[in-house]
Amino acid sequence: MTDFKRPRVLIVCSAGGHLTEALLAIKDVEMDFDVATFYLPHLRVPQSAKALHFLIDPHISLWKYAVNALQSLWLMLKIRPHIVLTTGAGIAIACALIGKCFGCKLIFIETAASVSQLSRTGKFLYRYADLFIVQWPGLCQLYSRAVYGGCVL
Amino acid sequence: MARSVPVILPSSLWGVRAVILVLLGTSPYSFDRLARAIDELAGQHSWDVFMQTGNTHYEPVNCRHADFIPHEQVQSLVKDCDILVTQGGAGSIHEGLVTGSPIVAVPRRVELNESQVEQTELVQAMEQTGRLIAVYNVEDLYDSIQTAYTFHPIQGEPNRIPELISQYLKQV
Repeated sequence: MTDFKRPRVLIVCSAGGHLTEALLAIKDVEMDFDVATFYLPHLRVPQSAKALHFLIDPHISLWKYAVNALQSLWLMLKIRPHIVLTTGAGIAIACALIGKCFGCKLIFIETAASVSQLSRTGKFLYRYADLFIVQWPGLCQLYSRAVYGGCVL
Repeated sequence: MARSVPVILPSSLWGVRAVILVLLGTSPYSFDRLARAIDELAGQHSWDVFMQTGNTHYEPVNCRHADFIPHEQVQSLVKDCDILVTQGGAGSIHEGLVTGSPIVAVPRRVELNESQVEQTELVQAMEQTGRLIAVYNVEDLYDSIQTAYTFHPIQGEPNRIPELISQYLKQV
């Protein structure tokens, strides 16, 4: 048997539903992972997560995007993941792009909420994603590189 | 006289047990439309309602409520409730799907400034597969909640997303 080195993955997404979906998507997948999200009361991640990091939620504010980008850069330098995995939304854009500059692979899982068209984050990150998974079959016809994986819910 | 403190109505005492859990999710937007509609119905019909309001500003007077409660508590409330009334977000809907509780889902709408993203499509798609009852107009809430008592959600098909990710991780 060859040594299968467990890849180091950074899961970055909004707290709430996005995080729920991301954790369902990696259920029983063998990997080491960190989670980066924004603060929410009673936030919990599985014990298998190596660490929980907080980023600012840029929401719709440009200057918060700038702060988020700096935080993301610091985080990416600290963790040095092989793979960035995200379900969106805006909070993950900086990590995803910095990751691409550092040679990381990007896995994007479109949220279940996107049935007939991609989310804004999905549309933007489509061209950068190495694996782009959608949860509804109709999206595969519009986006040829999208892989249909079924709905995590 | 108007009640100023939330009261737990012992509806089970006269045989009408109606324990309804309302989840409004974690969105930064307020979802007053649903909170107000449920609160009014709870007052009219003496329902026993618990509402997790999240970032919604409306303060219910006829329901027990809290802005955020620990996840384990949400899970046990979902397990014990008769009906889960929820916003149309994936996280809130998922809570009900795992326990098989009847779900009444009300999508937030972008044009009413209730969300940044559209929830209607997800709710519609889940309704079509028989996994929940959808309500697009809060005036239909009462009827839908009545229907929900006899609603048995259909199990979803297993997804292969973890498998796709595992395969990909082995390639790289």
